[in-house]
Amino acid sequence: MRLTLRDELAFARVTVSYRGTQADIDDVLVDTGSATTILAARAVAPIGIVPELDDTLYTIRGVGGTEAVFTRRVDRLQIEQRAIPDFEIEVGAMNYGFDINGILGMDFLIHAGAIINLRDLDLGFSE
Amino acid sequence: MNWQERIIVSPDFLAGKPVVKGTRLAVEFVADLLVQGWSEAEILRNYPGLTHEDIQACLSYASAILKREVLMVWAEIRKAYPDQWLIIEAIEAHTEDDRRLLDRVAVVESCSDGTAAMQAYERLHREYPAREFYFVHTGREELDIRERRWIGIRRNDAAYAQR
Repeated sequence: MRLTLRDELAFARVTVSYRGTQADIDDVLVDTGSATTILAARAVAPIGIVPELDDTLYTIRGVGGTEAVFTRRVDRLQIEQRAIPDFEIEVGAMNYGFDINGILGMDFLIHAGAIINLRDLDLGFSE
Repeated sequence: MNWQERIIVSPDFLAGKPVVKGTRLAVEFVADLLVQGWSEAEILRNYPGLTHEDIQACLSYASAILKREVLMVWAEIRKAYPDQWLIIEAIEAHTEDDRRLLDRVAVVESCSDGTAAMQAYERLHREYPAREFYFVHTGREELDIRERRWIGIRRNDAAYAQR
């Protein structure tokens, strides 16, 4: 999977499957500094991932303020040939002032056996 | 006096305007009568569905709205805004371990469904980034908000590049 470099940050495309439909999402930041994975609400709403009554709510507090997010178990989170089933993501507004639709965190990267090659700008997976 | 016992807000009644329970009279309607100079006796005579306590509740609700102190406790919010999506604001909140506890809560908006609630949240969060909003459904028994810390993304923004 080709990584896109923008502002010295690496972005990938992911595919989310949920309740029978799926969507490709671009501009997802590959982030070894994030333990968890989050996708933008605007990117997942089209496949039916919207707030539901008994969602677990989180407040993400950091530099610049707070953001409210909910979590959801998706059927599958996939990059090219590597998919992780029944994967929990956070979903938030992600209005950070630049084009970003998600953050791919270590929960996916480690589990998927990701190999991040910045020399060739490639995201691969171990066997 | 507990206005929550007398005033209800629901998208099913009067398009979500605060209404005196058991009537079709909006709180704002009662307030306007008083503003126009109606006495309480005249109001009770002309609107036999209203009681003295209802009129008191209308004024109490209006006062609470002005103080942005609409409700303090989730249980009260659930009763006054049954079975609906809300955007709430944490006027005062603190964290214990990883639990975010909202000490004073204001109801900001009522929304028709989860999608509308997320859109309303995004709009409010963009306009007021320093304020702490949440999108919640009043069907949930507890607010139960967990906290996660985030250092943030540090990108090479051209405006700050040291070249």
